[in-house]
Amino acid sequence: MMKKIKKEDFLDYLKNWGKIVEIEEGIDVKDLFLPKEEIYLVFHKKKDSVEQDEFRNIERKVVFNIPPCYAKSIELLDFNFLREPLDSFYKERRDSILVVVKACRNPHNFCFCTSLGNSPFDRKGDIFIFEKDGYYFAEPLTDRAKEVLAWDKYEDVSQDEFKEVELEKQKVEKEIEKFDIVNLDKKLYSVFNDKIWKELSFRCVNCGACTFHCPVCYCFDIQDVDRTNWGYRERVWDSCMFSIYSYETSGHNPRAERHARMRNRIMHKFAYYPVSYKEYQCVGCGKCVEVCPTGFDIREALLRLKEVVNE
Amino acid sequence: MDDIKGKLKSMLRNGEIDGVLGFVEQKYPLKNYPLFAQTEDDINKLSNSLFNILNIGTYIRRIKDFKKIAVLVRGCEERTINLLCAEHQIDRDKLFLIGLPCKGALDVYTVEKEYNGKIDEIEEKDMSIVIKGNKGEKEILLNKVISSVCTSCVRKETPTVDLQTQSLNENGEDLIFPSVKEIEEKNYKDRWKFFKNQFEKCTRCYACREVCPMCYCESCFVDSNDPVWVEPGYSIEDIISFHLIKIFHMAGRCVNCGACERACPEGIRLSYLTSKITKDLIADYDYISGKTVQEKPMFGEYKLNDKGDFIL
Ligand code: SF4
Ligand code: SF4
Ligand code: SF4
Ligand code: SF4
Ligand code: SF4
Repeated sequence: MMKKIKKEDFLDYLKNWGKIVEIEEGIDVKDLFLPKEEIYLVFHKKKDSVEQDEFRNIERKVVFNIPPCYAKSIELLDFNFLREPLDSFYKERRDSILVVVKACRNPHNFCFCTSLGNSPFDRKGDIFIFEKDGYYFAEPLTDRAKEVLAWDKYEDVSQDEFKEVELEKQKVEKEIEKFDIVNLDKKLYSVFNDKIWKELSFRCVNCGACTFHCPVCYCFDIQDVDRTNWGYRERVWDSCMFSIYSYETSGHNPRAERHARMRNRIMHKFAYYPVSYKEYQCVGCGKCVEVCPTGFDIREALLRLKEVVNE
Repeated sequence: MDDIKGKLKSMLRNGEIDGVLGFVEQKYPLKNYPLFAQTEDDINKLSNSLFNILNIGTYIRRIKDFKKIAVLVRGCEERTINLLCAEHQIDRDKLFLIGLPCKGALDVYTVEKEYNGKIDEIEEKDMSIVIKGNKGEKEILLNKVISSVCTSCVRKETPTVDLQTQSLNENGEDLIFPSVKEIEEKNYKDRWKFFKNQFEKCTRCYACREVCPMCYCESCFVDSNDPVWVEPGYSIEDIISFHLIKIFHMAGRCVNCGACERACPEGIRLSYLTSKITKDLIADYDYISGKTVQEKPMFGEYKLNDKGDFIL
């Protein structure tokens, strides 16, 4: 059921639900769900006691105009953090966010969502919208979406209008380059010790920018920060591309070498994860390609791996 | 480039070199990547272009067990290698350097912002680039998209290489460092505001450190957790501590190649710091890093007439 709602009206309803955070094209959203810095507790040293501060103040937000690839990544984050053992900080934040997904009509050079079985018009999030001449064609997808407005009051989009959405979808899908990595996941295990990883990682500087910007990467580290007379415990992003990520207290580092870290990143996304959970740990947004200072292109890497696997 | 490639291939065939280190063109994402070419096919792929945004010096230490390798270098990279040799990180006798002419390196993020669409192709002209894509054709003048460090490059020539491909007296740079001047003219409040705005965006990914050829420490002060020199997390004082300590470690060693700035995924203008130390060292000590292999690093040498006005 897709409803036709005047733009201003729709935005008013959203405003009533929570503060609107509009996502500009090309801007990451992970920070809104899994912030790069999440404070767990704050304490002050008093004369002869330690006091804990109140500091969490989470307001309701409407994250507006998320592209479907990022909406998919939020589903994957949810899967990780809302399973048992549930992450209460994540849940509290997540429950306060309404996700409004906008059909992606302007794919860029890095996109490859279709190769992973996704579409720039995937119905995801709480509400899916398509913009047309001062109107939104909007589709509520969750119970939370039903709270936002009385959907029944609005007319369904006409058949012609619906067809238009479908046509636009086909047009945009065609603009995105597609390649095939079906069944690559299981085969990747067979090249674990291949020299290909050294070849692929020669250029990589292990900066981790690809994983920080990846909307699906969820690795974190918990740190205590000690200031004079006060301090806090916080969760910060971490990345398997860093050598200290796997550095053990014993002094041993199982992934001391560059290529082992590159291998872990690719294997986690395209082998370990899909083999365990039937989903890629990648949504094809291409952000990692865009931010990598050495122009490391995960699409090329996958195609190169496919060649090696089939040799 | 083609005649050099011929020469390099014959050197490879004769066993004079084990391979050639240089950059390979990559259509998208507009960033050329380093390759250690060990076959004639690979040598054919090497290119010298505006999209060589990194510093090749970063990659030399990655190549293990070689007798001699050839390296394609631009002005700042030649100086990088001189410095690395002076700091005993690499052995100059094992390198065969080929000097390339340089028009500067592009700031890829600015290019993308200027075009704001899906780019299919970029053509390089004398003074501009022509971008083709879904927003039509757009010509952008080079000085709009060239890295700010490149517009105040201290030496585009490569006088110390083994094979020259450019004439040596083509540039008489006037070193004005416009970006630094802009900051220096601000009062301290505005300056703080400026840097705070910049560094608030930092995710501490350390791409800037990792791409820097002179940041080669096996273990960096910022990664140490015993003792903790800089606290983790994103408080502005910690972020700025990292950048200030890094830049102090770079004084006299930074070649102002701008790789750090171009690598930063957040578009933080690190060149304000690198250009500032470059400018001050020229003004106060008449020192340009890496001019020759023989020259001692700035802090490896003491002269009686050194300016001492900062010593308390
Ligand atoms: S962003 Fe690029 S250079 Fe940095 S860790 Fe990822 S692949 Fe390596
Ligand atoms: S791995 Fe790259 S393309 Fe895949 S979701 Fe992460 S950033 Fe996007
Ligand atoms: S790729 Fe690396 S950083 Fe990303 S989720 Fe997997 S292990 Fe974590
Ligand atoms: S590359 Fe940019 S974001 Fe990353 S640590 Fe350096 S300044 Fe910060
Ligand atoms: S600090 Fe930046 S400009 Fe200086 S040498 Fe390193 S990468 Fe180049």
